[in-house]
Amino acid sequence: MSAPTEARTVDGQRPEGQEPGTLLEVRGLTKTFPVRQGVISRWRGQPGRAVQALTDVNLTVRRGETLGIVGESGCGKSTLARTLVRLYEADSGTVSYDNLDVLALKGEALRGYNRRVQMIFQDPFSSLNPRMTVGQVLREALSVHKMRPAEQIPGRITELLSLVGLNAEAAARFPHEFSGGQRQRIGIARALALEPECLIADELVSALDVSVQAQVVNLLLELQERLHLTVLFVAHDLRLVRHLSHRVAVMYLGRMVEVASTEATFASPRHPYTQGLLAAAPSLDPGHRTAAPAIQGELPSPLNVPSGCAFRTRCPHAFDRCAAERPLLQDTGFGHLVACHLYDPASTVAQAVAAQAAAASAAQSTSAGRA
Amino acid sequence: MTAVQMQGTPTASASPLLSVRDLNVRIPTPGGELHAVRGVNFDLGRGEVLGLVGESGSGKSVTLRALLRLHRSPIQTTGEVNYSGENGATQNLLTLPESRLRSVRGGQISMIFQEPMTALNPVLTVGEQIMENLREHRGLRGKAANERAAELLDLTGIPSPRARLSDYPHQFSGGMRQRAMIAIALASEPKLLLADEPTTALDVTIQDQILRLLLRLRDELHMSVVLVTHDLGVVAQTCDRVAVMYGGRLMETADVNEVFAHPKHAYTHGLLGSLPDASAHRLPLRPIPGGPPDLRRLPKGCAFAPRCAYVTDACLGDEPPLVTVAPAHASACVHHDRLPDLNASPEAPL
Repeated sequence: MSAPTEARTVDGQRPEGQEPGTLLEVRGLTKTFPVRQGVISRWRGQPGRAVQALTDVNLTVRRGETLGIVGESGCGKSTLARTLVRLYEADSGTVSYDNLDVLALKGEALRGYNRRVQMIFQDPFSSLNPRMTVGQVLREALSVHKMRPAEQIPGRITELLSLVGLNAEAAARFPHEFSGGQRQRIGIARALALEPECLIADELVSALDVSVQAQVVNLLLELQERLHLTVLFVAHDLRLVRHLSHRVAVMYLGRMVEVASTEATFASPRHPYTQGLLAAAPSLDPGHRTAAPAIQGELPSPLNVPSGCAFRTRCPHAFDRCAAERPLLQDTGFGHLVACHLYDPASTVAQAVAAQAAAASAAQSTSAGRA
Repeated sequence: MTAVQMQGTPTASASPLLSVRDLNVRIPTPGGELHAVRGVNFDLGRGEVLGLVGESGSGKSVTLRALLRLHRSPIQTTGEVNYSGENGATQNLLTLPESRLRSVRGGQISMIFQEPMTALNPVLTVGEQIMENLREHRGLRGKAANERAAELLDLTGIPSPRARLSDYPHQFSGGMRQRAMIAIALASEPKLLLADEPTTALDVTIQDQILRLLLRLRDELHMSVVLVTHDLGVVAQTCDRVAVMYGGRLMETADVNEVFAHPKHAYTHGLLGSLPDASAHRLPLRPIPGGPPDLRRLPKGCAFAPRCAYVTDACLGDEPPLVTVAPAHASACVHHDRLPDLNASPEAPL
């Protein structure tokens, strides 16, 4: 599916060179994790198995936007984030960042890229070295990347701490002396030390209490405004993603199933999985309850992804083509990308089912307004 | 401090199923005594789902475990947990002899936990774990127990239940383990189910299935449920009544619709106000400043006062008690009648 003609139909990008405004472009990204085989299965000559973490992922990130990436556990959203900063090596596909071929970068060039694209991790308790003071953590980042001459480093540390709303005295303290929210601020300060253009935030606030989440979200909004950052916000909390993102990408079992503006995603989701995911998220309105679950069934094992469309085993609209052929991410109008056979204009079966589905989801989304 | 009667649910009969009075849990730690639950009072009606909601460290799980006397020495549990079982007699579970408590615990009152993988026994099959409960509390053995165990797995929505009885917990997915745990808890046909964050470790589509399952079972089996959670969405979708905890105390108790529409405690108000609103895309949220209190060094007066936007000197005297402020609505907030409307501008002064 990496043919350039395909790439043109996928969200209308020109295959050669990037469109102005595009910062990061992912094409056909695939990543598998082989599973260690036991002695018996090797002796029996059984083929090796692998977790399909990412399958042919396409995504475009525009300069200055916040792109939310949502999905359930095992959908590949964290793998995608880590592959983008080269913590994992991709099996195939391309990632271009500002016309750099990211997957081919080495040595100094890779360090330069890592400076421009910084990741903030989910767990504020394990992502900071417990034996280093906050000052040492920031100093390490500043000196490894030669951000400042040595004599300017203490001043810069104070500056960074105040940027994320911490006192200068925090530099002398150890991570365990801080609360979860404060640690997440330190993680943000460390990422900002390198003056990045793009932040990849993997579940930035999921480990925090609700009342503290809002503080960190506000910090992110403010910093993005001040420093003109592009943000990839990877999260499972739909309410937060809706609040922060300009566009939303929905993933399921390693595939991108829908990419659209935040408004379109939440007001008129097209992929049956997105529709179910939004309906399953508990709404804050006690007056709106339904008796039937939004999506039946369990997530299939990523070791054994269903043929064709990965969602077909739980999809209420699945028909024979879904098992036979994997739907590609296609523009269904106004940059609303969906990977679903229901939206193939050539198929009449699909049209009938789609009309039905659209009517059902319209009823759902109007009632789930406060989700 | 007077107890607050919880009324207003259609299923609540004259006498509540569970009546908790002045519940206190004290945990000795090297850094001083940690008073984790401080004078909690509530009633639970028959067939009612009560949500115990709060942030980490608010004492909600400690409260739940104290109801069944699961805390061991040196942790001290004092107060009364009055349970009115089937025969109409009321027993205080905190003073009941251990031998008689055992028939209540796991029998008339069951509990499910957050982490089904750690709560289930990894070396026994799911069937054996259900049948253990059937044998202990219902006296079922052999074929009858086997039949009933399969029925229970079927009831919780596990496909081909008969075959799954001989599976071990590791052969189940996270959602199925939680279903299996619910099946074990229901084996004794309890009158009360205590659920400690039952869906926190699960994905949102699976959480949706499990919560609807709990509600369906409540209706079919006429159980009461106490649901501990930190997720306000889960509360809105499952509970009849809500008790909001902060710093080891109940801050507000009310009908679920009331809590979300007209919160009468500054903490509940702040919590709901800090959530993203669909109409304010990318605008700053209204966080509650600061962090949760250290239970070893609680401030004088209201525990929420240091973070409260409406604090006055009146909040800093004696700790405000939980009092009835409207029909079936209790609040421990000095300024319960002066909180602005939830959708009003955030900085509205008192």
